Amino acid sequence: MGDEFPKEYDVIVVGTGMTESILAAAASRVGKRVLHLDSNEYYGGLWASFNFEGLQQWVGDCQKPKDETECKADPQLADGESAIKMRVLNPPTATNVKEQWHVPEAVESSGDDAKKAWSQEEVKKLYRKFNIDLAPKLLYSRGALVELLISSNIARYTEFRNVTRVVTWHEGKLTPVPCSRADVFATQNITVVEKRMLMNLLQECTEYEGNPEKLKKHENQSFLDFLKDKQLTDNLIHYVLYAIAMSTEETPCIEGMSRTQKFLLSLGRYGNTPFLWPMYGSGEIPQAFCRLCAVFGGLYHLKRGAEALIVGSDNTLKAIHSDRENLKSNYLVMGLDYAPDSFLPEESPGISRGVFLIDSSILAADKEHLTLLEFPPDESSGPVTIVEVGSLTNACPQGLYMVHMTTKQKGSAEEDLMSVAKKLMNFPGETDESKPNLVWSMFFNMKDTSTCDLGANTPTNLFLTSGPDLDLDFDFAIKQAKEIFSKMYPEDEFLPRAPDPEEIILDDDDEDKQKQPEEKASEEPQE
Amino acid sequence: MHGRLKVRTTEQEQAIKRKEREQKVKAYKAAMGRIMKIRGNVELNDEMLILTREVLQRNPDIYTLWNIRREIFLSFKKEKSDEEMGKLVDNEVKLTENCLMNNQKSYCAWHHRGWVLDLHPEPKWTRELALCTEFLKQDERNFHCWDYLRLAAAKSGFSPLKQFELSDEKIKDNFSNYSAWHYRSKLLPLTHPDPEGNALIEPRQHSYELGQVESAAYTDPNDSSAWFYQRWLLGRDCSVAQRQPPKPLLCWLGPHKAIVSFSKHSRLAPQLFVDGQTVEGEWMMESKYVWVLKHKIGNVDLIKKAEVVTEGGRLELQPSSIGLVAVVAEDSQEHNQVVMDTLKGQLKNCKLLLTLTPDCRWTYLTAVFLMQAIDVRLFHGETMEFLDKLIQLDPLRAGHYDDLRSKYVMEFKLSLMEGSFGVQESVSLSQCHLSSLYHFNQLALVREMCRKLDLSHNCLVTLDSMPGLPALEWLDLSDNELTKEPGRVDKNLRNANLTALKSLSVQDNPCSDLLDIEDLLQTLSFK
Repeated sequence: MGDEFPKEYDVIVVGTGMTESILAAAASRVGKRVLHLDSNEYYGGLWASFNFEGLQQWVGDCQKPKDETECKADPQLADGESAIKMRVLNPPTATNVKEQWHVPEAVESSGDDAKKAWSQEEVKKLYRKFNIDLAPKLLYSRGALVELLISSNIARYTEFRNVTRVVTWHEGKLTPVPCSRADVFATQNITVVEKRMLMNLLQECTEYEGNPEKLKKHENQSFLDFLKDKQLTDNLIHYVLYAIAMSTEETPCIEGMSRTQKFLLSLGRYGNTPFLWPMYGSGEIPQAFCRLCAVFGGLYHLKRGAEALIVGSDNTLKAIHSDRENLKSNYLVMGLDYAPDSFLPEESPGISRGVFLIDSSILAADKEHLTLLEFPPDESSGPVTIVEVGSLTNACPQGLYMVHMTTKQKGSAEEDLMSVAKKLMNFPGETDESKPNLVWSMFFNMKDTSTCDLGANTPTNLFLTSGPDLDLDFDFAIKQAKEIFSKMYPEDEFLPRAPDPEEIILDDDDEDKQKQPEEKASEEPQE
Repeated sequence: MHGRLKVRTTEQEQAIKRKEREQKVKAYKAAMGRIMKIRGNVELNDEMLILTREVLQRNPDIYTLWNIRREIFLSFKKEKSDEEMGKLVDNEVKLTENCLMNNQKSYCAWHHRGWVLDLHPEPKWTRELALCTEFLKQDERNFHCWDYLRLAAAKSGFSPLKQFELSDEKIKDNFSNYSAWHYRSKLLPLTHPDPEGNALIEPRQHSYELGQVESAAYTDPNDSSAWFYQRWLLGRDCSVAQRQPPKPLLCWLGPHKAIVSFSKHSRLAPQLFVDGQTVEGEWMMESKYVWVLKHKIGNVDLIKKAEVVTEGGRLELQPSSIGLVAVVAEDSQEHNQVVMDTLKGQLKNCKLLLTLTPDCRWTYLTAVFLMQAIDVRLFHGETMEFLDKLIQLDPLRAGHYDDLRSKYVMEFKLSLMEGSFGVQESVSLSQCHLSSLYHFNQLALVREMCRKLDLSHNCLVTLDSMPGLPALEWLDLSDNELTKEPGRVDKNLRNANLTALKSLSVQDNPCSDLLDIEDLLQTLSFK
C-alpha cells in the first residue's frame, strides 16, 4: 500500500462501540469517506467481549488509578482555532470491579467423578474458549436490530442461537415460563383453564392497539391491576407481569401491554422464544458493522486515538490530531468513553453487572439451554435481568455455564446483585445439591449514559454516543445512530441493502468469462 | 478507493437467469430424447443409469425415469452378486437422498427409496430411521416422511414405544400436526393395549390422550388437528361397542318378506327358523343395517314359533296386528358407564371452553357430536341451537351443518318412535328443517307399513335419498325447495316404488308448476 494515509474525511469515528460502528457503516455505505479509530487494541469499547485472558487485562486497566496527564500533542492551528487536548489514559470504564475465584488454584484429578471439580488452573487453561460480554444483550426476533441486519444485508456476518427458555423466580424457586403456543400446550404447571386464559390474554395484548376505546379504560391503570381485573390466577399474573412483559407492579397498563406485544410478535420467527443471542458474544455485533464499513472503503486503525480535537472559532470541529498529524473531517462521532471531560454530562445513572461461572445450569435440564431470567424485584433488589449461556454459544467451555446479571445501580454491583446470586448458586461452603456451584465471579459498575443530553457541551458537528443502556436489546443504540445519521446526512438512506458477492461485477471483462462455459455446454446435448 | 461498487442491474440478472433456464431446457430435452431412444436396450443399461440420474437429480418427480431404473434394477437382481447388488443399491439410495434434499416432498423419490432398499442383501433400515428423524427436524409436518417412517419402523423392528416417543416429541414442538396425531392412533393399540380387552387402548392412557387433546384445545381451540384426534379417541374405532357384534333391533315376518334391522353395520346374513325349520331363500343386504328375505310362507298366523338368529344374538318373534314382530329397544347404554362418563366429562370441558372463548366453531361442533353420542333426546334442543350458531359462525359450511341437522332431527324422531317403531302407519316430519332424508333405511318397517308421510314445510331440494315406500298412500311435499331441474323430482318419485300412492302434494315448490300430479300418480301405480 504505497498510498499515503489520507488526511481528509467526511466522517471520523472514534471508538468502536455499538452506536459508533453502526454510524461508521451507514456513512461508508452511502459513499462517505470514513476513518474509524479506537485507541484500544480490541473492538467494541464498552460493548466488547473478551476471552478469559483479555478480560484479565481489561480488569487490570480498570483498576489503574485515574490519570489526568494530557497528551503531548502539539497540533498546528490555523487562525481562531483552538485545541482540546485529550488525556493519555482514558478514565477507567468500570468501577467497583471485584473479581474472585471460588475454587482452589489446582485440584488433583479425582478420576471419573460425575461432577467435575474445577480449579483455577483448569479454567485459565481454557481461556480461549471464553467470550465474556461487558454488555450482554439479546435481540428480539422481530426487533429493530434483526430487521436492520436483514435489510442492510449485514446479517451474513453474524450468527445467532435461540434463547431456548424463559424462566422466572416464583414462590422461592425457578420455573420455566410457558410463553409460546407449544410451551403452553406442553406445560403441566398450569391447568387447562389457565392455558385458555393465558392465550386469551396474550391474544388481547397482540391486538390491543386496534381497540382505542377499550384502551382508554385502562389509561390510568397499572398493568398489574389490569391483569387482576381479568381474574387471572396468581400463577399467570406472575408469568405475564414479570417474565413476559418484564414489568414491575408499577408499570402502567398500556406500557405493559406494549411490552407484552413486543415479546409476542417476536415469537415463532426463529424459535419458541422471542430472543436471539449473538454467537461468540454481543461484542460480535459492532464488529459486523465495522466489517461492512470496511468493505465499502472505510479505513480502520486500532490502537490509535485522537490526541487533540481542533475546534474553530465558530464552535465547529475542524480536525483531530492523531499520531502527529491533523486529520480533517466534516463530522466527528465519538464514543462517550473517549470524550474529554468538558463534554461530559455531569451526572449519569449507573448499571450494576455481575458475571458468574458455574459448574451446571441454574435450572438443570436434559439438554443445554440458553436461558433468560427476569428476576422479579423484592425488598433487597430491583428487577435483575439474567442471561445464562452454555458452551453451545461459544461463550464458555463445555461443562461450565456463564451467568450474566444486569440491574440498575443502587449501591455497588456486588451489593445490588449478591442477594439474587445467593439464591441461584452455591457459594463456597454451601452444598445445596439442586444448585450449581460457583467457580468464579466478577462484579463491576458502568455508567448508563443513554438518558443524558450528550449534545449540550459539544461543537455542532461533533456527536457523542452513549455506552450500553439497561434495556435487554440493542434498540437504543440503533435509534441513536439513526438520529445522528439523519442530522449528518438527511438526504441519504440509512444502511440500504448491501449487494451479495454474486451481484457485484468484479472485472470489466466479466462478460468474456461468461461466454466460455456457455459454448462448452452447448456442445454436449447435440450428440 | 472510495469508489462505488458496481452492481448488476436487475435486467442483467434476468438475462443471466434466462440464459441459464434455456440451457437447462436444452439439456433436459437432449437427455430425454436419448433416454427414450435407448430404452429397453440392455447393452446400454449403464448409460441409461447415468442419463436418468442426471435428469432426476434436477427433477425427482419424473416417475417414468424411476420406473426405467426399476426395470434395470430388477434385471440386475437376476445377474449380479450380492456384493455388487449391495453397492448398486447403496448408490441408488444415495441418489434418492440427493433428490430428497432438493425436494423433501417428492412422492417418487420416497417411494423409490423404500422399493430399492428391499433389493439390498442386507438393508440397513435403522439408518432410514435416522434419516426420517433428520427430515422431521426440518419439517415436522412432512407427511411423506411420516409415511416412510412407518415403513422403516416396520422393516427395522423399531420399537413402537420409541416411535410413540417420537410422535410425542413432535407434538410438543407443534401440536398442529395431523401426521403426528395420526401416527399415535396407529401406535397406541400396540404400545398401550387394554389388558382387559374391553377397549382398544388401556383406559389410563386413553384418558391421558384425552388430556393432551384438552390441552391443545384450551391452548388454541381454533386448531383442528387435535379435535380430529379426539374424534378418533371417542369414536367407535376406539370404543367397547365396536368390539361387540351388531345387535338385531327389529325383526318382522310378513306373508312374503322378512326384515331384520341391526344396531350397526352387519356383514353376516341372519337366519330365520320357522317351527324348527330354516326358511329357504336368499337374504339381501338392503342397506348396511338391514337384511331382507323374500319367502313363500304366505299365511303367518299359523306359525307356532318363529326365531331369528344373528351374529349378535337370537330373537323370538311374537304375533301382532301386522304379522310376527320382535322389537328390542336400542340399548341407549351402547356405551358402557366408563365411556359415558368420559363423554360427559368431555362435553363439560367443551362447554367450559365456550364460556372462556366463545365463537369457536370446533368447540361447538365437538359439543354437538358429544351431545348426540350421550343422549339424542335430552340434548335435542341444544343441538339445534348449536347448529344455528355454527351456521352463523361458519357460513361457508352452512350446507354441511344443515345436513347434520337433518340427520339429527331424524335420529331424534326415531328415538321418540322407539318401542313402537315399525308399526307406525302415519309419520309426520313436517317443519323439521330437513334438507335431506336420513335413516329411512333403518326404518325398515316404517317403510313397509307407512301409509301417510308428511314432509311439508322443510327445505328439501331433491328426493335423492327417498326410500322405497310400497305402502305409502298419502305424501305431502308442499312448501319445500324441490328443484325445477327437469325430470329430477319425477325420477326420484318413480324410483321410490310408490305403487300405492293415491294423494301427492307438491305445492309451494320451485317445481310445483312443472309436475302433472294426476299423470304422475297414474304412472306410479302402473309401474
